[in-house]
Amino acid sequence: MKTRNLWTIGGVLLMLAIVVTTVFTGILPTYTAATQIDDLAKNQEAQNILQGEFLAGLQNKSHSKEDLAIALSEKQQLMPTKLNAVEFVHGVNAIAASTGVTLRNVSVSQPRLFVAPTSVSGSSSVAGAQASVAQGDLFVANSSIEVSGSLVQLANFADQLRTAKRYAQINSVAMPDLLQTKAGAITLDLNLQIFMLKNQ
Amino acid sequence: MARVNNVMPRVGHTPVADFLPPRIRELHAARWNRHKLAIATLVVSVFCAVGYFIGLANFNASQAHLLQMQNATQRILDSEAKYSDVISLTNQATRLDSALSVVHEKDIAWRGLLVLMQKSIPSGGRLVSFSLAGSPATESTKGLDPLTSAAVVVTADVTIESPTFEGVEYYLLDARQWPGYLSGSITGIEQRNGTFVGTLSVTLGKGALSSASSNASTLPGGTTK
Repeated sequence: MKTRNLWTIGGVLLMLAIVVTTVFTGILPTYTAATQIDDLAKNQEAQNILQGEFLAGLQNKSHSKEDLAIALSEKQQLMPTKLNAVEFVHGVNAIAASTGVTLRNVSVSQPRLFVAPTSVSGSSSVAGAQASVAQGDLFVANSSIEVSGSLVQLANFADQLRTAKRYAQINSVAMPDLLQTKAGAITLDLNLQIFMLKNQ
Repeated sequence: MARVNNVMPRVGHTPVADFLPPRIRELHAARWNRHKLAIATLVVSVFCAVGYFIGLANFNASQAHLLQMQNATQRILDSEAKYSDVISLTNQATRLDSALSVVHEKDIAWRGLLVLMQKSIPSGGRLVSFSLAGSPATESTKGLDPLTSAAVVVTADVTIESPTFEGVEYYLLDARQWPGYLSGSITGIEQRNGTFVGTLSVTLGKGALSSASSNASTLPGGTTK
């Protein structure tokens, strides 16, 4: 009777050992590894969907590659890689001529590094844009312009200046005292900034 | 009673007598027990093996799926490489858009402001001088308006000449219609040769920004964010 019990206990222990060994060394590790691989595959699949959409977008854009190049060229004119002071002054002169104002004085300073200040709107899009432009890539140059004409002409001049091919941000407009002539022409001092984006 | 039932033959059954000595019977029982244990162990082993192979098959299937996904990624990347010029153009345009967004944030539609300033001049009066100071793109705004705690974007100091005292008052009242108006004050009104010269100071908030007055998302050059 004792021997029989020993056999039974031994057999049950052996079965338990087989089950435990199989579960812990065979089934669980493969299950864990398979779960991890499934997660990786899921992520990869999600990435593939995004990449596929991106590729579809590229395929669409490739049909209008010339338009893209033209649009890019226009944007590069808004913010060139160099100061291009002569071209800027030429543009200012052309705007002055088209709006009928008299250009009295133009000056453009040397470019310096643009350090973005605190955002006025605090919007996430501006914060994202600030983050995406690498530090040290964006430059700014101050410029001042003195023009004379009627107030409406000067207002048109200021408007055309900020919407011109080269983007200029006017930050102050002043009509100093006693500079208004009898004919109604006034002199306006504009302080503005122009920008340059370094090539990557 | 149960013991008796097991030993006693049932009605209609053939009586059986086991004359084996108890020692031999015990050996037989032990052998039968060992057989049962061996069979049970074998069954458990088979179940474990089946479980292991199912797990292994599952693992292999997952690996195959991952490989399939990785191959698909590679195919997409290979296809994207054909459009490297388009990617380059798009990246450059995005970079320029970002840079323009950054510098354009404090852009002010001066034309509208100048026109409104002129429009508000009382009949028979004139603008003597003005100074409209916004914030350069490289600087923060000009602090906060003390009453509204809104960011001051433009400070306008305007001197006008009016034939009447009320003309100066009305000018300041009209200034409330200027975009982004925050506050306005009269720095001084003095009478000169029968006319009144008023000096006013008006502060304007975010409403004066070009992004507030026109299409909010329009960047210079007509591109949109």
